[in-house]
Amino acid sequence: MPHRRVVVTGMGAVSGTGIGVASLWSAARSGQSAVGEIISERALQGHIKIAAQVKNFKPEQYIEPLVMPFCDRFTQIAIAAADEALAQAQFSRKDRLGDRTGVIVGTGVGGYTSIDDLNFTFYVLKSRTHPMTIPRGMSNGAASHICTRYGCTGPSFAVSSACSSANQAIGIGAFFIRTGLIDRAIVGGSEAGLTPTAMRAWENLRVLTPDFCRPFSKERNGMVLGEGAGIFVLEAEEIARARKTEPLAEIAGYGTTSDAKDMVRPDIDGAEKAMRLALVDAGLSPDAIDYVNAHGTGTILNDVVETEALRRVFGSRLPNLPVSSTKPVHGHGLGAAGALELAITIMAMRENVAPPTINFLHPDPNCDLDPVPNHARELPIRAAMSNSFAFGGINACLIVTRTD
Amino acid sequence: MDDLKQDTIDRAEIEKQILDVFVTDGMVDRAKITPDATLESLEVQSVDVMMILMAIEEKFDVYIPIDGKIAESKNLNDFVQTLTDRIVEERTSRAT
Repeated sequence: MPHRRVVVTGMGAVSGTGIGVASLWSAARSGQSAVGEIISERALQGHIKIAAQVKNFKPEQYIEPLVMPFCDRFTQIAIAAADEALAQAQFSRKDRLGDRTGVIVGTGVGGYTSIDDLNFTFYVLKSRTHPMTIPRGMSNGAASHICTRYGCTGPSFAVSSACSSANQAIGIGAFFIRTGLIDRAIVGGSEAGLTPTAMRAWENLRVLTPDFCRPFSKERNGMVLGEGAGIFVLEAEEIARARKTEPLAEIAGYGTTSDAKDMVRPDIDGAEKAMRLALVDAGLSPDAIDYVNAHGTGTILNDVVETEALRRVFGSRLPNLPVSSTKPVHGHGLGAAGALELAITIMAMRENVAPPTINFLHPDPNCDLDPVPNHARELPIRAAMSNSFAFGGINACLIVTRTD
Repeated sequence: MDDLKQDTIDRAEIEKQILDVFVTDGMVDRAKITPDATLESLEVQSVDVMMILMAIEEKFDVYIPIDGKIAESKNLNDFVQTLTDRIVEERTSRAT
């Protein structure tokens, strides 16, 4: 069977920057950060009170009253992102997509808000808990609701691999189409867990910045969390062309590895291999990559390790390779990170603009790449790479190319 | 001069309390604590470092992000000095 090409025909996003890919891309391109004080029903008790939270999201605008009790916040925002992606791909809810469409949505922890509510109601309030806590909390909630909404009866599941969840969900969806298992996949990632308990738990890991997330900058002191969802419609190219839809990009390469070492320390070997596998899969040499959207969390260790892995792959070109992290804008979306960043990477390629790494102060000699500091830069982008490296030692790299 | 003396006393007291945390929360043998001791020589694992930082945070009501200075601490003395700087900074900024 000839190699089937996989294209993106729709994208949707909900993030701290607002509802829609347009607001996400606009914020990433202009360097407008969505980070601010977290608004929470229950008091944040730790020192860190900032994140890129989804604000002014009204789930009732998307979800029917009878469905709502089954939807955790991570499912709600995934549905809104899916509606945008499917509309762009020219599908409506009247189109029941059937057996040849799969739905694979990544999430780090799934319905964390519902679990948090359960614990608070049970242990503290000692009152009646939400009867649908179990289906709300399950990690496949987002994927299953999208299936029901659009009548997708092909394979569906959640990918849960912490911060690599979305990249793996997108990669596996593309592979399913390539192998002929399905023709179309609705893929991406969603995460909504900025509760006081989660914030406290993250704070205890000492990876959060108390002030500004500054990836690759000498002064960096940690990451900033975010929440959001990014959903894509992937299709076999011939199927998309037959429908006369205009592909936005091709998912050209996917590579994934496991460090098999430490649960929290990033690893140069694992990250390097994931990037190399994605290049081999795409049939591209490293020189073909014009822009890299980095994992770039802004912790001391991640950024040094990622730079070293990039050096092994890109060699002497590294100081001139545009590699930016957009996490200071939309926050670290955890299970949604790869999806938000792929949407940005595809927009960067379509508009030939590398978005900046904001909050950048001074170069770190240990991170001698070109971080596109503080201001977007116009440059021709024919192929771009997007990295995600997760706790548990799971690395996942995607490569997108133009379709024209 | 009085200010300087006060600061010196405060620092010494803070350093002592930090080392106490190493013993109580990091389960480090006090006899092994010397200025050139390293986290490796004290057999302090990464989970222990997190427990130590948490205990220091509770004790001094500060947040210690991992920045270059902390990450590059070569030995116990560097580590304690950096933590002390943070605590003094935090207290000074609160006092003003």
